Amino acid sequence: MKLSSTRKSSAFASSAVAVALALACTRTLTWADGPPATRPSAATIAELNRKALAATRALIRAPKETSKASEGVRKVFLQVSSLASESTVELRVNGTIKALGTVVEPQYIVTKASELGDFNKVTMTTKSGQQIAAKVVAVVEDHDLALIKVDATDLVPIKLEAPKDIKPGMWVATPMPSGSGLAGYGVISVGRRSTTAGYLGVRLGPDEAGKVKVVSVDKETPAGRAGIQADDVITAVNQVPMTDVQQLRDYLASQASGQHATVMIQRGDKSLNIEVVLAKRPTEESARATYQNTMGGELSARRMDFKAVYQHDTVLSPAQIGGPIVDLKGHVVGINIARSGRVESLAVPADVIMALLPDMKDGKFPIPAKVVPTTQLAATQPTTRPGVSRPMDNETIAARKRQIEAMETQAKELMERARHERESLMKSTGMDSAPLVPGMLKPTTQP
Amino acid sequence: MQLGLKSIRVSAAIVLLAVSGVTWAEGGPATAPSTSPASQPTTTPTTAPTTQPVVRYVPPQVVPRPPHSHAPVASPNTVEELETIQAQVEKVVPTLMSATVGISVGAAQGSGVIVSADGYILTAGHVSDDPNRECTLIFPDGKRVKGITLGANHIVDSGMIKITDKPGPGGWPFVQMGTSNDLQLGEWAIALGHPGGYRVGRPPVVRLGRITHNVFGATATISTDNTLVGGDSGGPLFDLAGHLIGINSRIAPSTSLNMHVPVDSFVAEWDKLAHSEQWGPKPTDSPRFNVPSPPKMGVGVDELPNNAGLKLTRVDVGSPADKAGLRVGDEVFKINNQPVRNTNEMLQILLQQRAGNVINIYIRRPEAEDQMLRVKLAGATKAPGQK
Repeated sequence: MKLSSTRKSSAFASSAVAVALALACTRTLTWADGPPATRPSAATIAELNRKALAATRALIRAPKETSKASEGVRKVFLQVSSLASESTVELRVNGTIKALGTVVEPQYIVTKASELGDFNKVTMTTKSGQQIAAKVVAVVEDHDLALIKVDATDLVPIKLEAPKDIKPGMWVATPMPSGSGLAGYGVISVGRRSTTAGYLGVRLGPDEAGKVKVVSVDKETPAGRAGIQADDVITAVNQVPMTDVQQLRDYLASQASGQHATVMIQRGDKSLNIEVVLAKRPTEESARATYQNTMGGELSARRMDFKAVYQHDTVLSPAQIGGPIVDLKGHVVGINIARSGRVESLAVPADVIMALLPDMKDGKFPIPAKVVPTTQLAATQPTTRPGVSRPMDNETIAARKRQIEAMETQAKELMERARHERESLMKSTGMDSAPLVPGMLKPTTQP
Repeated sequence: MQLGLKSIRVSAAIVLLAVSGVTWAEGGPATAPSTSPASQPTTTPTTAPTTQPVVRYVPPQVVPRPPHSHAPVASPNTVEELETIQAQVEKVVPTLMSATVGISVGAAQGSGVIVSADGYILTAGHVSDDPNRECTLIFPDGKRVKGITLGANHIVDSGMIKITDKPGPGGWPFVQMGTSNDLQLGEWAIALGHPGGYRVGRPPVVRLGRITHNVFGATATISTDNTLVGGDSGGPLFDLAGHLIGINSRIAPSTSLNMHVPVDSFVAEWDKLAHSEQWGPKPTDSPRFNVPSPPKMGVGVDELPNNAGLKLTRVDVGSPADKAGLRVGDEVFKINNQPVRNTNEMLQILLQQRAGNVINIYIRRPEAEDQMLRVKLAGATKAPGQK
């Protein structure tokens, strides 16, 4: 990549190159094949950097009509989910909006249990905007579902449909309560699966021979309690030989929490069998993963360890979890149960809820005494380790949102200017829009 | 970490998408790319008086796009139009998944896609990274095969890998490459990949979005509103016909801004990539990736509100902190008479120390007097696979 290539570029192309520069190396302007013979002046570099930054800003917001969030698509989903929105309610705890709920029977609402926090202070917002008491009557821990009873006569229940084949690529929409629009829409990303996993509490790395070496052990975890030590080599679990780190990770992922496991280790020249009880995987990832996953918004406090879920790519906030998802026919195919990452929201399949409902009403799932924590970013913050970026607090997120909004406004302006430049360029040169691409292969010239 | 924090402040910064990110592992046999039908190298004599013939690798045949108007694609506004899109995605996705792999190379994990029966894989440059390293490719059914990293263009972030295991009859499953320079704004696109790295029982994850920008030139980039995250790096982006148009690369804070390497970049530079050439500035060349490691205490920390210090969230068994008697929940507020109000201050102090030094660490513990413990620091541990 030579900087000189930008000189001959048109006004539009140069902004395009600047965009690309910004994308490729936000770090600093660098040359692929060594600095050119004649170094551009500092002023030139500064100017290019300025352009690159401006162009990056222009990229922040795509033109609405060609984005997934276009008005047309939104209207269609608003329409197909209108019936379900009549059965979607807002739930508050101590006055703060915590979740959505799905009216499944007269007076009965299903929602995400752990998001409520204090089961004794739940209220539902009525159509007239009043808060009425909502009583949690059942909690199903495996699915993080709560059943709520309210003394309201005007609740419209919706039928939970259970189509047999829900395939990746199927559209799903998440309505808000009637009159409040749409929370979002997306497609099914992964068909039905369980996200439970066994947890040991060790950090692993390959040793010189590629075997599974324990790098460190976390205290207060199954491994820590059982006495597994750093530098131990794990050779087998439950008699299944473990030859590499990935294999052990995969094996643990296939186990459930609460299960007993025999871990065979090599410590020096001794071979030991250690009994552990696998725990629930804590909702903690590397700081890097959390940072990337929260790029785009907050996540639910509990976002793993579900017995059966569909994964979809709708961008939702934790307070928009608990309501129904509908297909293009308006059928309720599931209830959102977690915002679990930048690319993922999870929903419990409709048939799972239908099967549980009688027992939930019959008191077979008593509410636990312990109050589960709700989503506060502090609660979801992972361990900060030296050398790893720090997760964001709410203030940082709010500041970033403001920053992005400001950039979006600028971006619109820049896009408009770029379009203008491009049009006037095309007029003056008589160029078609396609060959603006310098040096890029066209299908006809490909081997 | 000071520099880590800096990386957060660059809020519009583009974030690379490999899972454990930076890995520096080297080694693995330098195997020459093998030759087989789909990607036949052609041998041509050079004009120079040399005995070495020049091997030139050519890309698999691309599927040309049907001619179109270059006008942005109109938004659907009926249920029927969305049903058509849905039916098409559901139809092509199973085949596309079968050629989408998880990639494990050194300590990093990413994604990739097979584009030829003889096992050429396109991925992101920051996933394949240095050439001639052994790597593992994981198919959606969990089957693992070995491969070797080939070339990478770190300017556009394109990378190439070749499967070294022998395929069964009929070769490896692969996808058709399309073209990217003629993508229309608003065109629908399917992204696949392994967010967070390959997970047992989870096939490649489907995301649907639209082309929002197509930037050309030496540093070409496609952007879409197909949401991506770490681990998706190197995963494929397809048009609705199921032809490969790009490779997942990096993200910005907005969920609607995700970047992909255009497939045309791979086609144009196929020979160089297949010859294991590597060029352009690596993201890992940036100073913020080359931070000195402080000596080790063996703890995890969370910052307390209002700069009140740090709370220990993890104490490694047998670590210097454990030996000194530190416990999970302890609140650190001072080290060696210097206040510790946040992570950065602790790191600044630790960076001044070396392994073997003893530091005085002042802690607050519920229902106890404030106390001072002495921690003998250990050497910094490097992540597995680090150079």
